Amino acid sequence: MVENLVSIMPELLMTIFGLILIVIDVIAGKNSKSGVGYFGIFFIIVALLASIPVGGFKIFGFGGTLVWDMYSFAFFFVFAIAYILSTLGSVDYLRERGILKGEFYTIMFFSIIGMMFMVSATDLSVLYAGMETMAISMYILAGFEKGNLKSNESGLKYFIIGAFSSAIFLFGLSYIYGYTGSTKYVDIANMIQANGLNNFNIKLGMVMMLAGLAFKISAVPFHMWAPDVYTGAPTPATGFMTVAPKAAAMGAIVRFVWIALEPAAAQWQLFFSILAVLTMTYGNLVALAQNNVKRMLAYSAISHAGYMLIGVVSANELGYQSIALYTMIYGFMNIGAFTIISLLKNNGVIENERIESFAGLGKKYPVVSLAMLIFMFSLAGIPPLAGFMGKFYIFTAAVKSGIIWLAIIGVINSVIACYYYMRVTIFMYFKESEYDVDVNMKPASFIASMIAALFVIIIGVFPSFFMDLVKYMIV
Amino acid sequence: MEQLGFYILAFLAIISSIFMITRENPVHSALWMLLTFFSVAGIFVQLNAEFIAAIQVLVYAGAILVLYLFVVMLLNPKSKGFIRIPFRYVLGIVASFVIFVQVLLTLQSANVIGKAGVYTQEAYKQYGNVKLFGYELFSNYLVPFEVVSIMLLVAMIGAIVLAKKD
Amino acid sequence: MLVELIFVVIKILVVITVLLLGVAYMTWLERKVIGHMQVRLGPTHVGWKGLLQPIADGLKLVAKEDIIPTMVDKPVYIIAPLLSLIPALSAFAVIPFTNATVNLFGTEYHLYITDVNIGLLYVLALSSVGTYGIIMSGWASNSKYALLGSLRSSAQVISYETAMGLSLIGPVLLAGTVSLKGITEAQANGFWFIVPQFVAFVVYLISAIAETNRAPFDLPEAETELVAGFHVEYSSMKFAMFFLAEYANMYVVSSIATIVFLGGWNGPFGPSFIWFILKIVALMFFYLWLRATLPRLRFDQLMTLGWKILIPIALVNVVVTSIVLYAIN
Repeated sequence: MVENLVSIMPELLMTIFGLILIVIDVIAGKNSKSGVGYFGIFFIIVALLASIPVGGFKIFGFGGTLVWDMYSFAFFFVFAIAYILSTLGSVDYLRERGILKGEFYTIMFFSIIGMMFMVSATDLSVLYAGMETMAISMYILAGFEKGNLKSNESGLKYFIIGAFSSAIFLFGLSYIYGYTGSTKYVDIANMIQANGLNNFNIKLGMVMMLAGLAFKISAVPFHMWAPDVYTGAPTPATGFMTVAPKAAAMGAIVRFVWIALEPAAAQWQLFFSILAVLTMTYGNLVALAQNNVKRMLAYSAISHAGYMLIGVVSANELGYQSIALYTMIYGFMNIGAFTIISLLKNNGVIENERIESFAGLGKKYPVVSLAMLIFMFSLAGIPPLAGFMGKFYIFTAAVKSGIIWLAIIGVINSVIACYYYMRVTIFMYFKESEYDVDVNMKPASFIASMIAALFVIIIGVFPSFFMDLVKYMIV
Repeated sequence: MEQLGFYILAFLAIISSIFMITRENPVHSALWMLLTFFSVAGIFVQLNAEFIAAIQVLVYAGAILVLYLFVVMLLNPKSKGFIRIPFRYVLGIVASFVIFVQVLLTLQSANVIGKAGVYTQEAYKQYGNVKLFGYELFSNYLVPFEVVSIMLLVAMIGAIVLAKKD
Repeated sequence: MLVELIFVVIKILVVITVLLLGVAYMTWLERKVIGHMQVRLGPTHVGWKGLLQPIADGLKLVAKEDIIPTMVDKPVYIIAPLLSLIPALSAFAVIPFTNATVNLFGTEYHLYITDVNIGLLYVLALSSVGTYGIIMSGWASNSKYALLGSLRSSAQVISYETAMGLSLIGPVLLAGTVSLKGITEAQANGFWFIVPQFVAFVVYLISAIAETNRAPFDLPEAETELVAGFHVEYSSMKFAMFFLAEYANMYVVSSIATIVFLGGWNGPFGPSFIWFILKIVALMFFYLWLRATLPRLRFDQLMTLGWKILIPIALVNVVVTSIVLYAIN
């Protein structure tokens, strides 16, 4: 009984807070809906502090369907970062477009509950239910700007393709369940251990299930939805969507392959290494051709999923740790970048997010440009910023487990990626501005981007502290 | 006898699904789909899963399909029919064929080695399907059940946000 | 085996015949009761006190020309009345109306058709399927009035089905089973569920009236606005089928109310069958009474009542019942 409660306590706490958040939303006046978001930040920090697994314990609950350990906590931390930064960065963006509603924050909050269940699930049915909670929230966030056709398209496209991917996932799950007679990871592992992977059913089930998960992290060739969805969604929502669901799906994949597919390592390593190569290369190559920074970052989000997959493929403790670290770093730098994009307002004829909007920004708004520079350098993986540390650990993990070729492809890719990230900084500092661009900097988004920039630098300079943090995650 | 029942229901399900995807009129499609739901519900009954059968009819036929019909009637889409577009026709056939082969392969290699079910024929006779189902749902599958309720809450909030006029 | 089969067929035939007769005489009762309530006499000419009037009406409907308008969607138009009548009649398969048994060749057989362990869900599922008849008829008729009537009806039925299902959960929690026979037996030695579940009973009664499209919730056919609603284009036997379905549905919801809240066949003395019939007739009389008394609601009032009043009440009832039950056990 106590074990059950402890294992589900963080999610339970978050659910209660989420329900309170709905009530707050009802009470809050029409002009103070941002308060819902701030309350959400407060709640999430409380929940985060309350759910630290002191001493790195690991508790299974509900007959082994759920687990709370450092690994779950690390991902909860990533979601919390994503929530806090996106909330701070979104207030002004939403207010300017007249869509500042409490539901934006409530839905984001509830989506985090789904993600937490995904990561801490040790049972496929919990994983699926959590995944759907997350996905439905994301569809809504993507289509949140009702008056904007692009946002509508984004929401609808995400919904249709997401539903399709869920169906594939479920189809695969039913095969696995039919073969092993259980949805628990441990039972699946035992079954594979005893009988091997020679049966057609389980292979098919695994491939379809992993494909369904790959949809969620937008790995090539399951990425078709990502660019349009990320471009169309409201910018702060995009920041959140590129980080949190991806982290959750990575966490779920790691947990799944780590426990359930342990005995069949060689097979899924192949599957994921193909995905990783395709994802990195495709994302980077297409991003080269983009003139819209938001769309470029959408493709870069695809390629980053590829880097994270290298950690999965390396299949050792360092790999799993570095995934957690990477998602954390990625959260800071990507949401920071999206926050700054959301501030730009081009008074000319072109879209706000076009790369031309950044021209000459360095002179006009030095602080914002500096922050953007930090994020771009970090995304590109230039030392000594955090992005470099993330990539460094991932590639180290790959080298350690002997898949050097994948690490080399990863390095080549990050060299390619430098080009398009640098292009933004070049526009900012070395081009004359063609259009009249305002940066609509308000306190909330200023704080968000500054926190993000600060952490990008701190993690870059003192990586060992954060690495130690995630080191305890694998028990 | 039972085998015969299964074959009739399965045949009905297949035929009605084929009619469902080939009708040009969406309302006719929906009616055929209704028949599919009923046949599937019948198969569930044969599997001693009466609760699922009732829920299948109650939720799918009674609520979802009615809402679907509602939308069809209000929008009155003039479909040219799925079948008229040759490219999709080919694509559909290929996809169906792949799935067909896949299911055949599954059946052929159907040496399911998983655990046998906990609930025997005797337990079923003693407690009935509904009770056993409820017991499973609230003991072994409690967590996913509750997560689904959160999911529905989110979906509800989202539907209201997206549909409400400002 | 064969004996059993023949016996079941006989039971089905008897139940359906009795039911159809009941429906026919319900129309007579309706006209009489409402007539007297409005200080009229009602039918008097055909037979003693007009007792043969339903037979005459039935003959008239059968003998009438069956008109199918030109622009209708023919197959759907023809299926629609069947789709509303068949579920209504099928629901009676699980209604346990008596605990009397009959001994045939050494084996005891019960007199009701069957008892399944999902009885209540089966009835609910069938009643939700009955909506299709109304929707299809409205759509296939290709007429504005019919379509409006059917859209109203489907909205109404879906809304009230929720409240109805929720109101039934309370008694099911008390009985610990969804088998209708089980629910009846659970009330045999204690009080009827109407006592602890009075709130649920009221919610059920209101939503049952809405579910069967009876006054004051008869918006789908609202004569004064929509001529006759969804069946405006129907004539002859097809019209009669809708008519039968409506009354059969009334019997179904009354039977459920009787079984779930009023103790089913349980009574202080005498044969169980009589008690069941008496309770149903009392409920049916209540329907007629309502029709003669209350004016029709507006559509928005109807929706407000369903979603904002009945469903919350039913939900609270479920929560309170579960908590009390948990505390007692």
